Amino acid sequence: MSNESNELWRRSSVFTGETPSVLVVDDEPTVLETLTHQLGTDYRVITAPDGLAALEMLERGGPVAVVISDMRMPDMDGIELLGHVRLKYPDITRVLHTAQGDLTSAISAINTGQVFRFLCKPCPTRELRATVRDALERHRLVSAEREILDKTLRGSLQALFGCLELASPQAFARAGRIRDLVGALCGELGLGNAWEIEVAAMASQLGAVTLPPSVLEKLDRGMPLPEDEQKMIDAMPGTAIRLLGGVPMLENVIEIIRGLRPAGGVHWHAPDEADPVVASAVAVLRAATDFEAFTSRGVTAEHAIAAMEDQSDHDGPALAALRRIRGIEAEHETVHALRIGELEVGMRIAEDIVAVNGLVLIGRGILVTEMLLERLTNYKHIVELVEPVWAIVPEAGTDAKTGAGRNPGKGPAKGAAPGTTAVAA
Amino acid sequence: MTAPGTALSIRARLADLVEDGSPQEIEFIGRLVASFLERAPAMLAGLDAAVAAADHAATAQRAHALKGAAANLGVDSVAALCAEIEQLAGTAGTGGRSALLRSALTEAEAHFADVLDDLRSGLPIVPRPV
Repeated sequence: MSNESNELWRRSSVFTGETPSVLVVDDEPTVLETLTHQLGTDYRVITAPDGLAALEMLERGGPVAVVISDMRMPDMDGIELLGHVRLKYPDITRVLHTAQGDLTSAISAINTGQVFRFLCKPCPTRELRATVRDALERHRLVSAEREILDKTLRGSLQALFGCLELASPQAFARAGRIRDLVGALCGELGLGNAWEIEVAAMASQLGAVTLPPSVLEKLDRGMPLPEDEQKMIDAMPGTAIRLLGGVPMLENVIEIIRGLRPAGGVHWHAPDEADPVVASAVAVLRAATDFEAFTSRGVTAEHAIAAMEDQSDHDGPALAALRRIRGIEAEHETVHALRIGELEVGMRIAEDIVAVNGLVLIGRGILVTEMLLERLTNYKHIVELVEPVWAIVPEAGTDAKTGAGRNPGKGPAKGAAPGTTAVAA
Repeated sequence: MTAPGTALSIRARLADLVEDGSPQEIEFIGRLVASFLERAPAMLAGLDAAVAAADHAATAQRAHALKGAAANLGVDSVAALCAEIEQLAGTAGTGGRSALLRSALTEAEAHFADVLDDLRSGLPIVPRPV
């Protein structure tokens, strides 16, 4: 689809990895040729004859800094295309290239935030280049700002979830199990905003620090709760929303948490005005949370999914994805009984590691890291641990371990993707 | 439609597209013009067919397409007529404009030939004072 194969002529140019890419979209081939020529050799110019082809190029090609789109095109107009680009690639600067008569829609596009600038056809070379220069500068600033915010955000969230781990290893492990399942579901469903849903999964459990140990234990085991205790569970999303409310860039995360029904509630409806991205995230998180509750109660994956299907308030695609990934995974995981000293980095804890007094020290589902082994060694000095402990051994090491393997028909929810624990234990 | 105006707009647009005036670049502009002139009659025929069929959506869409292609090379006369047809589609008759479009295209072809000749001869093509 690149113009480089079918263009009429182009100056010779040398592109490096640093050369910014500009995607030009227009259904008139001579306009594409002209714009490519006008932009000269400072940019890697790629062209698309319509909106769908443009989205495909963004999906498959390398990173693009600026998109210049025609307004009126068959099937998908420029505003719609740039709206998709805005949602999926917010760092890309969007420019609308319109005929004189399209001013009203162009102005509206700018005012609703869909585009950075608009250019009138035919666009003089000087104006085109100046606009692309400004658009690239905006792209650079937005990308840099996003990178800084990403790092800050990631660090803050790790600190927050690290506190959850210190305060309640059990709740942290449960959050991690839900998060891992959410990650796998997002991969299966091709959802692009997985990080937001995964953070929402972790954050939805922050409120667990307010629960009395007995209630947390019941929640962790998926047991039914009396009304007063259920109210405490229902209040958990509210706690997360209060904690995260002031953090920038978490607006969608908060909306996802807000969209969770009260656990165990029966009258749940999707909010009418929900953003479709948030709505699908809520569906995935609800499915993962309910599945976790069932399997924690000892229900097999198959029966859990069947029960959720019977409840009829779950999202069909999310349940189908759950069936696909859980159906496959349960086949090849084997849980081993080990002494604490036999645990190795890379294994995954299959059952809570508890002290003889019943205190949960490490929750099931947690990945074994060097820090975790160190902590366990420290614990052994001050408290007696219940042994053996149960761990899922990675495939390559399954043959050499002691202890009889068993198929995990009950209990532990298996981690979907080893190594995905966000906060090192 | 004013012929001198179109000659000027074509000249101004092509002058704007000339970066270094190299033979390859002039060749490129020549092919760009040829590509437009080759496709324009078919686009015009498609527009006529849509008008004849009273298909207002297709009329507007095809007029818009020809308007874009013409404006891209500075053929303001064709672009202006197409803009009228696009606006009038479905509200009033567009009769008579087809003949005007054809004549505007023929004139544009002659203007293109002049400008390309100047370009190939190394003459400046900056818009001349009218």
